[in-house]
Amino acid sequence: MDLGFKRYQETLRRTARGYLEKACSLENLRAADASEAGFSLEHYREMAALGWFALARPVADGGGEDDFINQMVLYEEFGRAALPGPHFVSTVLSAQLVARQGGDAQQALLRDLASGERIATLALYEETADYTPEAVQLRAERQPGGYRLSGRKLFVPYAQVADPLLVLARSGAAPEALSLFVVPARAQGLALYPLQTLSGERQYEVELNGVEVGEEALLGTEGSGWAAFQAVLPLATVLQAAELVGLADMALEIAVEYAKIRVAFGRPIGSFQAIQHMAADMLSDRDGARYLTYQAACLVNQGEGARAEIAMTKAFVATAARRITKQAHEILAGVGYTLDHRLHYYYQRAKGIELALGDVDEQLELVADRLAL
Amino acid sequence: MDIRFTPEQERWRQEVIAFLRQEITPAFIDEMEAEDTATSYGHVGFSKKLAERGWLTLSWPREYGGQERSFIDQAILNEQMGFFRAPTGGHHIGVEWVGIPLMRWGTPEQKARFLPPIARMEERYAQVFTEPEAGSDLANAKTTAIRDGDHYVMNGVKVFISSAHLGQWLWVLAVTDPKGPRHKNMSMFIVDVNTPGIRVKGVQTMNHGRVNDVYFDNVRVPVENRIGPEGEGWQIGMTTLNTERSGIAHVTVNMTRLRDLIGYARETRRRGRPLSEDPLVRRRLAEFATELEAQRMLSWRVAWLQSQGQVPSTEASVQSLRRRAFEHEFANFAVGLLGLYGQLARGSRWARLRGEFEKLYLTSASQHAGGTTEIQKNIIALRGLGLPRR
Repeated sequence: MDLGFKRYQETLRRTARGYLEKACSLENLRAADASEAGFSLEHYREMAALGWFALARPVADGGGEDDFINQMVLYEEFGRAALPGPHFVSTVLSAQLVARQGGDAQQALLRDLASGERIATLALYEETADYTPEAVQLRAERQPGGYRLSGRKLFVPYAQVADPLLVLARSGAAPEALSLFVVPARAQGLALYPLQTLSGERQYEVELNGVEVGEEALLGTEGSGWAAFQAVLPLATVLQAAELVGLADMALEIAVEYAKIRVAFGRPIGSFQAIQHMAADMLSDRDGARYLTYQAACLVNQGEGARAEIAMTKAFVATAARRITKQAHEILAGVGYTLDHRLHYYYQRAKGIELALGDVDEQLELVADRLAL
Repeated sequence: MDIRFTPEQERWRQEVIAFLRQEITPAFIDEMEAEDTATSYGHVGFSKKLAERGWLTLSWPREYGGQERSFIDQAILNEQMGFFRAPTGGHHIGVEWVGIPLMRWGTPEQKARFLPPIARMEERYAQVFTEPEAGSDLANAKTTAIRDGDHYVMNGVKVFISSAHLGQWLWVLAVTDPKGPRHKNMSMFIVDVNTPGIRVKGVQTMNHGRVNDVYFDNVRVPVENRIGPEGEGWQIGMTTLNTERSGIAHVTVNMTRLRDLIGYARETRRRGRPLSEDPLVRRRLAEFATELEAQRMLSWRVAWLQSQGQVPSTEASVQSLRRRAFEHEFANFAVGLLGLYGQLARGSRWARLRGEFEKLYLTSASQHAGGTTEIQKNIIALRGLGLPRR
């Protein structure tokens, strides 16, 4: 039972924190907002060069003892900085899927994703916005030489800068008869429309109008797409949780620092019990979130199924992050409400992360299933 | 970062489980409940079995008959004790609140006289701190112990004292220097409950329990029964350094209660279907399971910090506050699930789940022993976050 980090991991955290403090200054976050891509490609390449986007396999999948834990540490720091960009969808979700399902042909892609040379995204959800396999209706029809993809995907992160797009499509009638395709950005019949989202992260509607791809575009075997996605989901969820912990952590820090210096009625507002009690509750939520996430990371690292614990972790952490960021806003009141302050990034990003890959309601239903109810 | 136990720790865990499986039989549970003890006063026979194995004083230094087992080992024992609902109330004050300070501050004679009977579960203690005007503000205590030759003469009233009616000794915090500065004017005493001038008066609590008012009327306490230096009572009273403070047993007791409630939900039908198929019921039960898992990891965090030689300050408090808030919500929901049956206490032929949730609902109205929730939040804010006092 060891809940600590090794010295080099503390160094990794400190280094990341120092870099991100500058890269994600308020000025830079606002510049990213205003840009077309929604993030700084320069910073993205710098972080890739630091090795932060390397594929991190759990030990149970053949990774080094600390690889996945190190990645968890980085995601906590990404959360603290409110780092925008496609790192999660590209170098975690997409890369892990390609690593599991792909063959030799995809090795070059994997290298390019890690180096930041290329960015991939995953097109999962459709109009029903359900998190179930039945919700995937986009068709993959067999034709000589390959497949023809028709349908529409929604909520696809950073599709505009992505090449390729990984598309989950229906290749059979059975609910889980889904396949993954590697679709080049320049494919004929592909159309992208931006979605304005609460979290500020760039998401897109992606139309596939008879997009034709060759055999080599199929990732893994036909019908293996859902299982592949389910296999990646636990580690992806843990990293989401880590990022949420980071967001919550920074929101608490911002609120406490503000409460120490903001004076009202002749004294710092942090000396009033109402504020003190809110802050104590926030600390409690943050700590619960953090240690649940650490457990989940260890369980995933050891390959211990642990679906119930992972679902509990996301449910708890997303709720905690919401409450903490909301209470931080209450403490900062007007000062934290304008775009001149970075706090809104935390409140908004927390909700965006919650919604991706299964929100609190979804997670709690998964937990209920596993409670033998 | 690795939550797994070592092979030795896992072997220890299995040993503990085997013992508890053997001891905590349905017949024993009946017996334990029949002892009609409130607020987990425990079962002396069970504590003696722990004592026989050396498990009562797992954390104590070897020179005092302990095993110097690690905080992780202690937490492993406590985690399982909670799962099995094993009674710990009989011994925990003596072992932790008295034994540990005694080891640190007692004279060789005091240690020799008082420690072995604690370790053998032959003598029990009550913690006698609270007064009518000194609850949250304990430093405002007014019970005096004034030096008179080779005795102190004790006068005053203590209230809400659990188990004063059950043990041989009172662990008393009293003012020895009425003109002295706050926190430096008190001393700690071990007082024989049968000393002339002491009156223990029972007071019933709302959760089927008993606490006591303890009156001191010119009670003569030998100087040899003062523990530690005069004026250091406050510091001594606050000592809990050597035992694991994770609170993990409380978490796992609740996990067992939740498991029972889930079983009830599966077996009970309402409006034509099992309760376990009601989406609202499923959701709440999933939320409770999630919250308990967070508390469990927060408990392990405390035990782990201690195992690293750190003294947890607010970490134990964080866990404890979550538990208190949880227990009320949980008991309320459970009583609701039981419906009208939820109001029946253990002992009624119609009570469900042994009346456990009726009692928990009452217990959870306010859990303030060791510090009210509001005081603890103040401390978390000030010490944990550095927020200003004024």
